[in-house]
Amino acid sequence: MDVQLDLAPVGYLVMDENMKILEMNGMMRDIVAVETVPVHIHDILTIASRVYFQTYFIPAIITHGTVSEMYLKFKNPAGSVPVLMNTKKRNGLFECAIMQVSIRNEYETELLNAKREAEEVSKATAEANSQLKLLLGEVEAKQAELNVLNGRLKELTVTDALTGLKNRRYLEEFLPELMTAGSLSLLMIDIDFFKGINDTYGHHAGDIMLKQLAAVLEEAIGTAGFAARLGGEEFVAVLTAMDVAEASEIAEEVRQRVEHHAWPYRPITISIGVSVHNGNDTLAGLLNRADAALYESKNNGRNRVTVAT
Amino acid sequence: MTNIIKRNNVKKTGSGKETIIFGHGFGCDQLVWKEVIEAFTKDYQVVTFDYVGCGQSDKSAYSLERYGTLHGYKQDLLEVCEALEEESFLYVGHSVSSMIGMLASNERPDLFKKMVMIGPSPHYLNEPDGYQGGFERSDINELLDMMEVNYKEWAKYLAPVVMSNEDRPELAANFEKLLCSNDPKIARQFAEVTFMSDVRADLEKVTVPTLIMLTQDDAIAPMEIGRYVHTQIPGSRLAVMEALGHNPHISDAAETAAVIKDYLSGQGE
Repeated sequence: MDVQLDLAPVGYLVMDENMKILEMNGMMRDIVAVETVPVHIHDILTIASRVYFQTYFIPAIITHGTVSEMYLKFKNPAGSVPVLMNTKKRNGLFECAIMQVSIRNEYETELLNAKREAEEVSKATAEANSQLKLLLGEVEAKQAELNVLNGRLKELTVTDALTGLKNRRYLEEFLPELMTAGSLSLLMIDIDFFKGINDTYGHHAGDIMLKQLAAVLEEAIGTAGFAARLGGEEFVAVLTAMDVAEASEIAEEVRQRVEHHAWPYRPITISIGVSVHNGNDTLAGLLNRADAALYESKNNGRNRVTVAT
Repeated sequence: MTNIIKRNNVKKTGSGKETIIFGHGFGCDQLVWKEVIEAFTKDYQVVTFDYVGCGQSDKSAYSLERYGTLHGYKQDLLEVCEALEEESFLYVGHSVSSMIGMLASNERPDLFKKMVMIGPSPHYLNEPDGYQGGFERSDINELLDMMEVNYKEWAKYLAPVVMSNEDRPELAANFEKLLCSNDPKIARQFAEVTFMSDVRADLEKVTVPTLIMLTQDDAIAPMEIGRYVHTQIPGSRLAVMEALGHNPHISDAAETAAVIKDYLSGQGE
């Protein structure tokens, strides 16, 4: 071998087409730390490099006749030596120039590790993110569930448990609103001699009568308004958008229905006081006037409708 | 339903009564069979395909769940067989594909009449029980790193299409396509699955007549491993080739084709 090539600061080796080594220069012998030329390229490659070499180098050199900058590792008793190898096919032989890249390799390994760490961090972030999204979805579902439950609870607090009608709390909450919304009439309703039913037939019988009355009221009022139970045998029908005549007409309709209903135990009647919002009324005033009218109905013999003046 | 023919880029050529399927190994795709199959198209129907994640396969069908073990690749092979709607096949597998074929034939022995394994290894790692697969875990890690570092170099030098290959330009074009189309992440995972696999226990279950082809100086699946496979597969035949290295179907297509043909046509028995 040419003296200058032998001493050149780059590894140089020649292989035949079976990858058997024909010659190598001094630098190459230094890289793999041998005195004599090894037989086969496999003898000086690390195990991993052999696999890589067979998988990628041989197909490439066969198809292209040249391979550039292939990163490989050579065996050396002091630890494997990373190199970049350029190979060219000439006259049926493979000539290789081999550059040691130990320092660059350290840097590249660091880069590779940093890249991997970054990938892991980003993977962890993505996982955490999807976990958060999952939790958020769960929270939202729970929230919706709570809203439904809350709605139901609220419904319960404004509902009379026995009759299912609205209760006093509902009236207190919503009547002021309804008053400002427009004309409003109240029918204050009380069952005549109801105490006698409880005394004679027991409270269970009384409850049945109250429930039936609630049904009769709702049917009689229909879409004109709604009925509520204030407590005991006292009910209110709230009618919207009605003048005095219309309100009294419905009150009379209610009274008659109750009178003619097929009651269990014994027939009952109701007394009604009607007050129609006059534009200046407070809620208390409207209720008071209805109460006074009801009182008048009672005093005048019950089972009748009185319209407040 | 998934279109397997499209998903696995299945290619059919040749004509004949029998159908041969060629399975490519890790690190490449079906183009590696280009030269070998030319010897078969006159007398056989020839099928080549890409495993999902390799070559021109539908890479969107890749998932680590399915392809995290060789059984995912085995499923690919079985699905290709079913999609071809033939009663039975001859199968030639290179490297890890020979083990994939072995797993497939164990599951559906009815589908395979004969199998050829080129450079098989059922397990690449050395084991404390004395089994010498040839590799330590650290070697595998080094290989995976090497693939990663080199991938960019490859891409760089393949980009300008100026490779001198005057006598066989079609090969250069093919090889470029092949390397560039392998997703580095999937290639890495395929390598990991390949080199971490252990299918030694499945060898003795083989019932399909099998030929094992070994080469000289195979650094990936050394001669001793091939002989081990031969002793484990009942009634298997062994062919020791003159070809060198792990890729005789590329480096010595003529000898490779001749040995396969000899066996498949029955003259080798």
